[in-house]
Amino acid sequence: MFRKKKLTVSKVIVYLFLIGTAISTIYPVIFMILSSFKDKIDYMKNMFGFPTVWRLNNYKAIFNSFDIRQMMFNSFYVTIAGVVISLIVTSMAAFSLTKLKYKGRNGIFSLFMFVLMVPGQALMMPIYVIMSKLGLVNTRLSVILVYVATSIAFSTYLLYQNCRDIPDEIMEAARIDGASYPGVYIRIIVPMLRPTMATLAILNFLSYWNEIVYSRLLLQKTQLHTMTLGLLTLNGKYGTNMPLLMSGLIINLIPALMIFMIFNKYLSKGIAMGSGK
Amino acid sequence: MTAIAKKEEWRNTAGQKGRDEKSAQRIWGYAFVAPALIILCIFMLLPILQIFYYSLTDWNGGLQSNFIGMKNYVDIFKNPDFYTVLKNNLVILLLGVPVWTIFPLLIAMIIYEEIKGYKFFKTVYFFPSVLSIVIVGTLFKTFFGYVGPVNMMLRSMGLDNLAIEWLAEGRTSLPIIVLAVNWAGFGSAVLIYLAAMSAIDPSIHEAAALDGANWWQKSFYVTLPGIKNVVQFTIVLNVIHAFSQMFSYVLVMTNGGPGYESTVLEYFIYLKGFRAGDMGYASALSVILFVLVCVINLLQSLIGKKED
Repeated sequence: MFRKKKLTVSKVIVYLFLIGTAISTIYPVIFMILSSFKDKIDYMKNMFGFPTVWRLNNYKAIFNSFDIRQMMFNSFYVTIAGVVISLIVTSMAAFSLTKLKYKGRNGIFSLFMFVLMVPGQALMMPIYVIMSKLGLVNTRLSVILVYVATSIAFSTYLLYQNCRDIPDEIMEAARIDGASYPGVYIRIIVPMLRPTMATLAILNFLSYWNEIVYSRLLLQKTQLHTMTLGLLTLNGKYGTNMPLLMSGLIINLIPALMIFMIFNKYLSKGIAMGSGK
Repeated sequence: MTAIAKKEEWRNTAGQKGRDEKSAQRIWGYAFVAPALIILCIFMLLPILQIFYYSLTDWNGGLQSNFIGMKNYVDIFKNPDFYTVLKNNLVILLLGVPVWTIFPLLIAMIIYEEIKGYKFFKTVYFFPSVLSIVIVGTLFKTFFGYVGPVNMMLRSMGLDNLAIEWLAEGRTSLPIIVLAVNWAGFGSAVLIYLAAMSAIDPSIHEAAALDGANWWQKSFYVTLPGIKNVVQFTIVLNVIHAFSQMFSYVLVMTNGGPGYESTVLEYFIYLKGFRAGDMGYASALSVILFVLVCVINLLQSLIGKKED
């Protein structure tokens, strides 16, 4: 009897803790949505309730003062190009580093692993200098290259682990049948790496989409700004107009939210995989 | 021809074919690794070499630069602001690493019991992980603003004294940055822990349960030792984060201010290099950051090896 009662008390505490944490993750988003439909006065007077009148003014103001279409285009452009290039070069590298034997292979692999622990932000200045020497500052290509470069080590590492598990016999059999190495890569390796590649695509999509350090540095022209960069501008310009700020957050949130809802399973698997387990 | 016979033949003509095979592997090996390697060399390795070189010059972004030896480093170690910034990094390290490691661990241990609704909690907790730092930072800035929801709640409870300008003082803004990082990342840490826990042999848990172990005992004597490596890995990751992932949070939430009260090393590099134009000085700071992170990594791998 006593034991049972004690159990329920601890259960209640555990649930309170879990639910409290859940509220802390959901509530800010609800707050964001509700606030985005208020005006400044309504927000101040009635911060936690529903809007007295549901207004679309904030969204209109954002669409008027920012070229959202252009920003969306820029964001999708750099993100998708980055994800595709990254997947191609890293899966090729993983194939080469696991299945083909040549001199210096281990050295190259150690180099990749060394880069894995380089703090990317420490390289802001030299990367800026290199980009300006290559004439790439204020081009979308510059951030695409930086995104790919900063994620190469991790992506290759993950694909390397996966590629190593593909049995050599499959490749050998294809070779006997006269397949070339590019053929082996396209017809055998890529299909077998597909689940890992899908996970990496989503993880990289999110991190490229949300990146601000290098995009801020290299994309200084307004017409090249990404959505996330636009949000930073909004934050600086209208930092005191909370409802307006909140509606900006919501617009930026939608693509990430969609990715989250559609690919939740892949995403969680990828995060767990990335732990090096 | 049967497959086996084909294989035989392929293996039998070893001489010429073997050499062809070897050179084919070499050529395609280099060709396949080349794109990644070239991008890595130009945009990661070359910059690393460059910060070492720039750090020994007085380069200010212009055409001219002179070799000045260790002067930048001497200047840095004489600069009191550097120690403020380093102290801020240490505060984030000492507050952040325990919070970012233990909080998700606790949640993972509860969820691992597959209590009712655990899937819902897992999904909800993971959600902030997909948000951009700009969103997370702006949300926290709003919530902890002077007229933000947190202060509103405090005032309505009659705690007017506590309703302060949270982000205008290093004393309170650094802990809030730590909190924001935890909010944004604990869900993915929970998933990492859960993945590790699923690899523990369930019969050990059953045996412990038969022996009448309660949740605390099971968690600390069975689960925790079982995922020791992953916890260690998470700690290292968090230590590195404390030094190399704070830039965007500081940029969005406090701009490093007031003064240098919430500036971290990465942000200091940015201020010196791009705001003040002192590229040589900023490069020396980058080298210091780089060496710090490398030393931490090295220490970790040494500890890891010792334990094995």
